[in-house]
Amino acid sequence: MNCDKIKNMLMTDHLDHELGDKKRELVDQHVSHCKSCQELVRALQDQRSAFSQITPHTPPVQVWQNIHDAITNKESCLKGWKGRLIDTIGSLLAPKPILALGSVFAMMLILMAVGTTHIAGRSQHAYEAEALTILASYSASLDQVDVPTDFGTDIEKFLL
Amino acid sequence: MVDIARETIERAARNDMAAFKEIYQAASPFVYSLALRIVPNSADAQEVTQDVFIKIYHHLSSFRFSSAFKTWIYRITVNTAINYHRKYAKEKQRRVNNEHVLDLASSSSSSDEKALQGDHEAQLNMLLGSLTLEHRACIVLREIEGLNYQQMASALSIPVNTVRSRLKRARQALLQAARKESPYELR
Ligand SMILES: [Zn+2]
Repeated sequence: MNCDKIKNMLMTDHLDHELGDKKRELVDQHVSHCKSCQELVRALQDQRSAFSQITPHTPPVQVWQNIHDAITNKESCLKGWKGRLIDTIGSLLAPKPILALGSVFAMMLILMAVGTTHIAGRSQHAYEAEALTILASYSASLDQVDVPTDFGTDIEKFLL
Repeated sequence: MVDIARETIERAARNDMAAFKEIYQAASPFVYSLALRIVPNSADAQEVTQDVFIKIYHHLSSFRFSSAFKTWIYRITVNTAINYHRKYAKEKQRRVNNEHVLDLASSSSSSDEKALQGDHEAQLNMLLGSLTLEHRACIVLREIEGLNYQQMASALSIPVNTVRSRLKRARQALLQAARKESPYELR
């Protein structure tokens, strides 16, 4: 292995203990007689020790208060039947967006079927329209970008 | 981040506020500290922290235990902080430029900003500031949170090889920046 390749490893897998024993030995062997690699190792160790002195910051008490208020306010707003309906649909739809879309589609089909077979009165139509609006708004809220939905990789299983 | 018991997560998912507060206490120092290194000031970091925990709360019931809870929180935090930074950085910069004179006159900074200005950490933050957001997130997860490559890949939703190349670039940039800071110490 040439010096550049070794330096790559020094900056990543070697420093982060991601190398197997054999490769690590090869790298160490090179470093033991290469001045420029030795310098890099030293600089990287300095960098690491600078980070190791950092302690985490605790957020101000007000932050928890705000979170608590935001959650409890929203919950009291959702207490009505609409909230319960959204919750029920939510727990059915939660795990995967594809499932979610599938179930929304299925629900729409069911509602349409009900609508066409019944010679429905005004109130029936009003109810359907409302239910569809809720479904649509809920499926839109599933498009949250920041919350990962593809859980459950082997790596994550391993971590638990 | 401190470990969080499965039982606590399950209780919180059933809207048990005490359990959710336990999760908050275990995870908020990490969430807040990471946010502090990505967004420009403590007020923004507080907003990101609030956002992250409200998201966690509302998605707890969809969290499946086949995945690691901590990794899930790492991911929500990194995404939220980076998106927040992207969304508000330009707008805030404009406002800061306008209010620059006023700010200099009052020069009030919260305790956190003062803490960040503690010489060692301030220097480190300045170095981190020279990195892109993605590189910064990578370095913090590795050097401060101690995640391994697999955990980082999963927390950042990127392949392990991308983790490797981001870490390498970030470290190169940090070494370069450190050399500029103290040219005689590090050749
Ligand atoms: Zn060499």
